[in-house]
Amino acid sequence: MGNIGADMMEAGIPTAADSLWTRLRHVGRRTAAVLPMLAWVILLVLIPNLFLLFYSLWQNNIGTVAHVWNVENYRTLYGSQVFQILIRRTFLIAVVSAGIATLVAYPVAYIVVRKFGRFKTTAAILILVPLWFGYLMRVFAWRIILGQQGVLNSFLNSIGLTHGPSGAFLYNTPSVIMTLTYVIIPYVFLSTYAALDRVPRYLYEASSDSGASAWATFRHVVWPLTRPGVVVGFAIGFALAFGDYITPALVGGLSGTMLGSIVLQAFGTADDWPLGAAIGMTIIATGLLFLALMALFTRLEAPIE
Amino acid sequence: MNSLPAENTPTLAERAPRGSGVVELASVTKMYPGGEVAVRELDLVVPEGEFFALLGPSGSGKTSTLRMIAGFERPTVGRISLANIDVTERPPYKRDVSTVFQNYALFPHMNVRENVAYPLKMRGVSKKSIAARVREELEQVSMTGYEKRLPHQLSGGQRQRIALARALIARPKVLLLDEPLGALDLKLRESMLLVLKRLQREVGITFIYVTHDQGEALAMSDRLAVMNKGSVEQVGTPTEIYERPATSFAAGFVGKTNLFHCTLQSPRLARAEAILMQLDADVRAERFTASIRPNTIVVGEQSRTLENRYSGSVVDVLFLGHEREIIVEVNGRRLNAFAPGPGTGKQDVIGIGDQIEIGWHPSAAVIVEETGTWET
Repeated sequence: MGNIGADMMEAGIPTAADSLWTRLRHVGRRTAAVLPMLAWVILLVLIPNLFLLFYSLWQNNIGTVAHVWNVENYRTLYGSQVFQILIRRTFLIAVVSAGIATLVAYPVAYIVVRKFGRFKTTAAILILVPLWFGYLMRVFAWRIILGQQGVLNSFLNSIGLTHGPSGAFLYNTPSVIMTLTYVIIPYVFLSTYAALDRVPRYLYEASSDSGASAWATFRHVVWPLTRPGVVVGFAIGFALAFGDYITPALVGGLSGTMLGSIVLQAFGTADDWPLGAAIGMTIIATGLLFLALMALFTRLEAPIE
Repeated sequence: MNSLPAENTPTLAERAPRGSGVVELASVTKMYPGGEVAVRELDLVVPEGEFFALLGPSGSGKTSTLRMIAGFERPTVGRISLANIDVTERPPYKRDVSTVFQNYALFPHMNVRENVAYPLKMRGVSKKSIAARVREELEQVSMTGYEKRLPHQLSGGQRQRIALARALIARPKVLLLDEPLGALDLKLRESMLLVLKRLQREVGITFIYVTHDQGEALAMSDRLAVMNKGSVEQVGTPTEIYERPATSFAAGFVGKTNLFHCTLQSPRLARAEAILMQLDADVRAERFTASIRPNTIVVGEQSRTLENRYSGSVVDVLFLGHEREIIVEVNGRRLNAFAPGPGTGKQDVIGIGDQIEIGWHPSAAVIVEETGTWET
C-alpha cells in the first residue's frame, strides 16, 4: 500500500504531493496531444454539419436564404408524398445493395484468406483495384454494359435471345441496385478481409482437431469472430448507397431516383438550399440511426490474441 | 490399457514389435513448397499407452511430424496410420487424435465450459452428458469454478489446463502435445509436468510430446526419439539414450558430454589428439567418436586406481548446488567433469588454476560413431 504513491509518480500520474504547477503542466501536455485531432473534428466535421443544420432551419426566399428560424422545410418535406416514396425507396435500395455486396464480398474474402496462401495480399489488392479508378468512371461503365447499344444487349442479340436493342436493363431500380452493389463490394471486402485475416490459423486447426467439419468450424468459430467486421462492412456499404446521387443520376432514370438526387436538385436547379439542407440532415440522421442499430451487432465478446 | 510398465523398464521397446503401434509412420517425408525438407524418411512406431517424446532442436522436424500425425499437414511421401487404419488422406476432424497447441488455441469467444465442451458438441453428444463430462474433466485439471471465464481472463497455466481438458474430453486414441510448457515460467512448468504425467497415467492415452527441452523429455517419457535435421538419430528409453547414445548428436543433445574424435592405436587403445585412452570394447573402425559423460569422470585422488588417468589444470568451477561442474584442461583438451558440492565432506576445495587428477573407467567411453570422417 505504502508505495502506491511512488508507483503513480513513476507512471507520471500526478499525486496530491505534486504542486499545482506540475499538475497543470500534466493536463496541458495531455491536451496538447489530442489538440490536432480535436481541431480536425471541429473544423471538418462539426462546423460544416452545424451549418447544414442551420440552413435546414432557415427559409428560402426566391433563391436567397432568409435567416428566419423555423421548421417549415421539414414540415413540407415530411408532408410530401414524393418524399415519403423516395425515402422508402432509397432505404430499400441501400439495404439491398449493401446486403448483396456483403453476400458477395464476405465469401470472396474468406476464400482469399483461406485458400490463397502467400498470394492473399496480391489477390486482395487486385480486388481493390476498382477503387483506384474514378467513381464516375465505375458507374459509367455500367451504362456501357446495360445501355441500349450496350455490351449486354449486343450479347443477347448475338445469341438470339432478344431481337433489337432493349431498354429494360437501364434506368430503373434494379440497375441502380446492381451498380451500387458493384461500387460497394470493395469496401465490404476490405472490412471483412481484415476481420477474417485476424482469425489465426491455429483456431481453424483447433476446431478441426476437435472434430468439427469446415462448415461447423465456420459456424461456431469463424462467424462469431468475424461478425463485427461483416456488420461494419455492411454499414459502410449502406451509408455509401444511402446518400449517393451519382449512380441514380447516371443509371437510375425516373424510377431509380433517390434522396441524393433531390438534394442535388435542391442545391442546384431549384436553388432552394434550406430544403436541400433539410433533406441532407434527414439522410445523415437516418444513416446515424442505422449505424447505431448496427453497432449493437458489432460487439465482440473477447479479443483475439 | 492401464497396464503401463513402471518407469525405467527397458522392455517397453521390446514389447512394441512392428505393427502393433497405435501410431505408425512409414517412411514419411515432408517437403515444403520451397524445396526445404522438414522430415526425411521417418519411421516411427508408438505403442498404445506410451508417453513418447519427440526431442530435437528447432528445425529438426519434430513439430512437422506432430502436425502430420494430427492431419494439419500431409506427408509428401509415406503413410501414417492410427490404430492400424491408414489415415494419411484423412482431414484432422476424421482422426481420433487431439492436439494441445503451443499457444493453447482456445476459442476466444467461448467461455471455459464451451471450450471444453466443444469436441463433444461436434460429435453430437447429448447436452446432459456433455455437462457431466465437462464437470469431470474440469475436476481432472483442477479448474472447477472457472466455467464462466473467458480465455483472456485466465492465466497462462490455467489456459494450459483448459487446453488439456478440451483435448482429453473426447478420449482420443492419441494426445499430441506441441511444446505445451514452452510459454510457462519455470515454477509452473514443474507443476504442469506432474499434472501431465498423472493425467497420462490416469487416462491411459498415448501421449506424443514435442519438446526441445531434454530435461522435460527425459523426465516425462517412457521412450523418446532424438531428432535432428528431419531425421531420427535414436529411439529408446531415457536411460538407454543417456547411457548408450547412438550418435554424437544424441550424446551432445541429451545431457552434457565430452566427445573425443579418436584414431585406433592398437586394439582397445585409442588416441584423441594428445590424450591416450583405454577402451573396454573392440572397435573395428580406424577412426571413431567416443562420448564420455561428465558424471562418469572421477575427480581427485579416487581416480588413481583407474586405467585412464590424467592430470590437468582447473580452468573453471561452476557451483550448481548439489555438485560442482569443473572444467579441466588435459594436454590442451578441455573436459567437463562433476565433483561433489562443498559440505558433502568428500572433496577438497578446488580453485581455478589448481592441478588436479582426473580419470575414468574404460567402460565410460561410449562409441557413438564409427565413421571415416568427423564433423568438426
